[in-house]
Amino acid sequence: MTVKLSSHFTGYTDGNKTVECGGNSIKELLENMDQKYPGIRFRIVNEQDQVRQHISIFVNAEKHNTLTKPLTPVDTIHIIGALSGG
Amino acid sequence: MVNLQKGLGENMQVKAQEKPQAPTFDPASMDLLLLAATYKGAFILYNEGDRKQWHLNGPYYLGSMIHHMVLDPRDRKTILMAARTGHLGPTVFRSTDFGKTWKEAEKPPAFDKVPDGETGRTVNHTFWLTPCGDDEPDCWYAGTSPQGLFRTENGGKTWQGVDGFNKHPMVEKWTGGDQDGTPDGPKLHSILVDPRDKNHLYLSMSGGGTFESLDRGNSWAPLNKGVAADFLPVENPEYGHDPHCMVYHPQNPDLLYQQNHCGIYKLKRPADTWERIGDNMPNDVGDIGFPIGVHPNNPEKIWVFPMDGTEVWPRTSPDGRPAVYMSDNGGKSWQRKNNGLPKTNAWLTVFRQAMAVDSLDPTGVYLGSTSGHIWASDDEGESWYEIAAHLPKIYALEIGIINK
Repeated sequence: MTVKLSSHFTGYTDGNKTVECGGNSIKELLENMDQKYPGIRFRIVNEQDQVRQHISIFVNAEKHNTLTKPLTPVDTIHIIGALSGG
Repeated sequence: MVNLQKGLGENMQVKAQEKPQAPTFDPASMDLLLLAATYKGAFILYNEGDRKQWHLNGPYYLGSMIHHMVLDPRDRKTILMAARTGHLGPTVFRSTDFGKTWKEAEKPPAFDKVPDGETGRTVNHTFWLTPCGDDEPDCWYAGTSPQGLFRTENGGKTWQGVDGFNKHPMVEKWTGGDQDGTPDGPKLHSILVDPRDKNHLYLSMSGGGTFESLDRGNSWAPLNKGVAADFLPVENPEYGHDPHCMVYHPQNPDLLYQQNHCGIYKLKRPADTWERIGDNMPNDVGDIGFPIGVHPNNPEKIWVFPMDGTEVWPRTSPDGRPAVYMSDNGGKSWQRKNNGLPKTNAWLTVFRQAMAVDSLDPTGVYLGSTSGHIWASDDEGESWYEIAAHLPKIYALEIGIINK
């Protein structure tokens, strides 16, 4: 499936803002992404498997910040850093 | 501007520091690095020995909050940096080429995962980094917010929690909650490793107080007798204090000083009751502040940077007139040292990690301010001069000696 990333993650993805990866759930997707791009999972979820405070995950434009959300190969995922202020 | 990389790096001779002697600085063969950790990235100031001309390099990781950056005194080459971005959370970076390249820790400091349905702690940021002694060459400690203690034994690649502290049955009581911490979160800091005995450790927490371990972190005991905790309803509590910064004298690690939320203190081990040497500060200035530094050779010489701790705790220089206070008799008396610092309308302060002391003769002292200025003194605090301005808010300064 296609995963679109905000600029915050490009240091982990060789500069790419769009990557292809698979998984039957967000949890699996992040684990597979971490295999390809070591360290990226811990930038998205913390040590208690919670999506970090200022990260949002969208599945086909609908927000799902729970790792158990099932995925299919045709889904488009957005992982976005969202934080305002100075 | 000098390129920091020029002439540095690959062919350096690594010389272990001899303890307990402070290292002798030879400007013909050594240079200085001043590592500045700021709210918006890291900077490295490079000096060839005169301590006047500093060359600013960076920013590194612009936009990340860098809470601490330390040159490893054992190899004079490795730099560890504690970083957090607003979005991506906390991590630790490592450089072995003076900032030219950085590698992220494969396993940064993080608490253990708890079973589903339970509430576990998460590291907000790594706040403090301490290299161990020469007998543990790849070992460092890290202190986090909220308060956690972590250790690496491979130079910062992977970090493990020190269970003797993080899982101590009293840790929740010792550390309190978020309301007991700083405006930026509760912190574990001032991790001190006894250079004579790697099993002997101290740490401090805001809030929580100071603790000691004699078995390399497996067990801990409070060390707060004599320290005020005016913000607590009980008199002489065993823990829950707010030490802001604690140091020992490098040649006499049994001599401890701390700048606390409630005063300035000294402790000579094996005694266990702190003496409030801040009572000797001028009444109109008080003895509240964040940092404290100690002279590398003279154990009686210390520097503090008082801040306004009245009413709602403005945490600025008292009356907008920043000054270092120096004692050369272990805190029996204090002298105001502000020659070269702004005279008026300077509403800044110096955070607990933002005073650095070098080991040259005469000793140099460095201040990094919340206003983004760095001032240096190459005459033990008698006079000051600006070496950087308009940086982001400075969280920490550390000095390092490198071979040319």
